[in-house]
Amino acid sequence: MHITLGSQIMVSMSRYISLDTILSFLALFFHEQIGNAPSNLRVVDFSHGHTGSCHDARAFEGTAAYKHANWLFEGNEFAWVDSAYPCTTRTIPVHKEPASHIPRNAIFDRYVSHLRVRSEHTMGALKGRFQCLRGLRVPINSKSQHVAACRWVTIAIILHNLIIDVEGAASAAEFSGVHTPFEEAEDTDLQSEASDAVLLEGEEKREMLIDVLMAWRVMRDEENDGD
Amino acid sequence: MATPETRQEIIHAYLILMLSRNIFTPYETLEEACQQFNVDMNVILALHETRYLNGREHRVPKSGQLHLAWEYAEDPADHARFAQMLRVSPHVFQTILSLIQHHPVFTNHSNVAQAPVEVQLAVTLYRMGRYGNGASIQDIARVAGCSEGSVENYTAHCFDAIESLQQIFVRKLTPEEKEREKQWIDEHLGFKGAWRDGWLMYDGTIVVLYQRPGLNGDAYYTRKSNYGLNVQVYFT
Repeated sequence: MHITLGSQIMVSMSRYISLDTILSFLALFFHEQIGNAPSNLRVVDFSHGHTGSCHDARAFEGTAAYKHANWLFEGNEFAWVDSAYPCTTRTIPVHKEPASHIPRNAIFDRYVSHLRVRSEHTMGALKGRFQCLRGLRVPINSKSQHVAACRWVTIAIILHNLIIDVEGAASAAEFSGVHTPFEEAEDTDLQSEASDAVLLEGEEKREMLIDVLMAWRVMRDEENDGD
Repeated sequence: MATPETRQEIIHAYLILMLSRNIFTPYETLEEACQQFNVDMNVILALHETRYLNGREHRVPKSGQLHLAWEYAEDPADHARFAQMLRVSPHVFQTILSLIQHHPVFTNHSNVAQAPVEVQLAVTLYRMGRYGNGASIQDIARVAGCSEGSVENYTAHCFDAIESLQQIFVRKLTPEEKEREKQWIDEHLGFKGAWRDGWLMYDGTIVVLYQRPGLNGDAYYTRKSNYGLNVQVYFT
């Protein structure tokens, strides 16, 4: 009896050990995978100082990337933005209603949204870790106090990038579960007034990107049919 | 330091005392009057020049919890608790510490040295991880076991030191890093082409404020019926 009991314990022990080793191996594997993923949530540039009532598109016009686009971008490079921003050669937004109902635009928007998931991850990582950004407790009774309040954002972003450099993106996203996309949606404003700042060349560039996507999809479907 | 109003109140009270004393117990000789006048002038001068008017006998009871953080850092099993408390892992904490501890803001020309840099950094990070009523100065001071004024000073010092690192950590990507980002786009989409040039994301967010700003409060009002700052971020 004692022997069987002991061996049972041994068996269960070994099961635990093996399970544990497998789990730790998996964790290591995933860590490596995520750690090596190029998408690293790193903040390249930021701007603050505008107040909450300011529309995103207006605040955007104050950034270096808008005023001196060639400082940040090289060649045909551009940034993906959400529909609150103007469509230029450097910023390609998803479509607004009603244009987003056109099937080929809807497909385009879906692909862009897949890429822009990182947006929620970055904001989640930032506001989940440094939760002071979820309810900044700084009194603003003078201009200098407004600047002091903005400084909290600067410090949080510097530390966020520092953590990525030291421990990688997986670690940076450690607290992102605290500030979920749902909470972030509360903080972004998508109900923007229709911006008529759709520039012609920006629109052309977006159309070109849609064409590239469509051509690839047709090619892929043909390949699948061939199989 | 006494506020100007409190100081004025005390001086007024003393003037009334002088007046009532002179009315009810008039001086008998001119010499006595001169002496008393001299004393009064010196008292008022002292009231003007003394920086701290309260008594110093009262000491606020303090019992901080920061020592727990150093104990958490000892054992890897408690590292999650350390991160929960100070928002970064012990490893990152040490890295930040080594980067900022030689910053001139942490030195003063006084025989009384500042608090150790690790304490100042810990208080700052603890404060950055709290919002709402948990982020009040009094709460932070109680947990850190220091005075309310020290919390402000520590934060200001650390912000100065960390801000000097901005150029190192918030920078343009090197061509290799940029190429890696573009490869991520390729792999994520499944095809190569013009889309790989879109390696940047751009987004705006609202940093909500705890209370309505006293200055131009309406300008901070957002669509979500709260008050906040607009922040625009480029990221990969």
